[in-house]
Amino acid sequence: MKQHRSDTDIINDILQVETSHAAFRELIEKYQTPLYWHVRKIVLNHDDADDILQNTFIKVWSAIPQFRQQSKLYTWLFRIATNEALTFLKQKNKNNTLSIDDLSSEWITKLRADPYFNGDETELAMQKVLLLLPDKQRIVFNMRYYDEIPYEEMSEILETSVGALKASYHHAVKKIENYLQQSLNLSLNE
Amino acid sequence: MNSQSNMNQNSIHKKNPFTVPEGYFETFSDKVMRQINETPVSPKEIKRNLFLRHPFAIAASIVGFLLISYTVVHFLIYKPAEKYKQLAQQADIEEIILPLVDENEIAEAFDYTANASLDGDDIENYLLNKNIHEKAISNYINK
Repeated sequence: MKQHRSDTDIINDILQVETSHAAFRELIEKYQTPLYWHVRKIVLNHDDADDILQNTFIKVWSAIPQFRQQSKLYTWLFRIATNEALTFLKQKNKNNTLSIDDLSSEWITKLRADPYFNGDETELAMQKVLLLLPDKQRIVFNMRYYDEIPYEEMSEILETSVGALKASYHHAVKKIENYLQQSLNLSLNE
Repeated sequence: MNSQSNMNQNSIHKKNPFTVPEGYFETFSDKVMRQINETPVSPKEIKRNLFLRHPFAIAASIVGFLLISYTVVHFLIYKPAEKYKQLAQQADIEEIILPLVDENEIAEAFDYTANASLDGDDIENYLLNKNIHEKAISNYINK
């Protein structure tokens, strides 16, 4: 696995005209994987995640001179990617007249046919119930449950208090368990 | 056992069911760098050109700055100075001078000015009262 330099070294080189391109490539290679999976879990489709990730890095390239190194680069990148993904979903759902249940079912049909989704029925059911959650609650759940990001870090990324995030996660878990227990007769206590 | 711990214990759903096309991450940076190279602007240049990109914002800032400067100068510096000047003009001169100068001195000064036409006797009397010898006076006059 390739070892990357510290964020400070990479940023300093990006700000030098002679080394900016090589250093920015290094930044992409360092963060592309966690950012991709974060975005993919929000938008589900690979092509959409790819577009959003490219836009994210182009925005980062333009905005990096304004980046204040008070916050972590990692946090800043995740914040930009999250906002890009949320804007994408908002645009996509703007003219949508389907109910949330129908929308969720439509997504499941798409996922079944998606060559880049190889989950079983349980994972499909999990995605279906996740789609019933409000976008921000789904993001909180994904970050905490799948990525195990600490609440403090999530708070910086999502610019939301730790208390609100904990409450959001708790509500999401409750909804998911209720749904899974009802629809799949699957006991999570076992 | 609470719901959060139930879910965390159940690892079946933690598996990532999504995949990516083969070699996706190996070529992703090339794709982004190609787009960045098509834009012949480096981050440094973007920073330098920021002011050129927002001419209306800059113009509005300058107008705003001038307005604030005018307000500060007019209402906080010029107006109070004018106020004191007018007050000084309107005030009775006695109100200003009396607390500063002894009343007797004013009366003395007033006497002098009222009798502005002093003659030789007045001067001689004054000098004699001040114990200046007559001979010294005549010497001074004849000099």
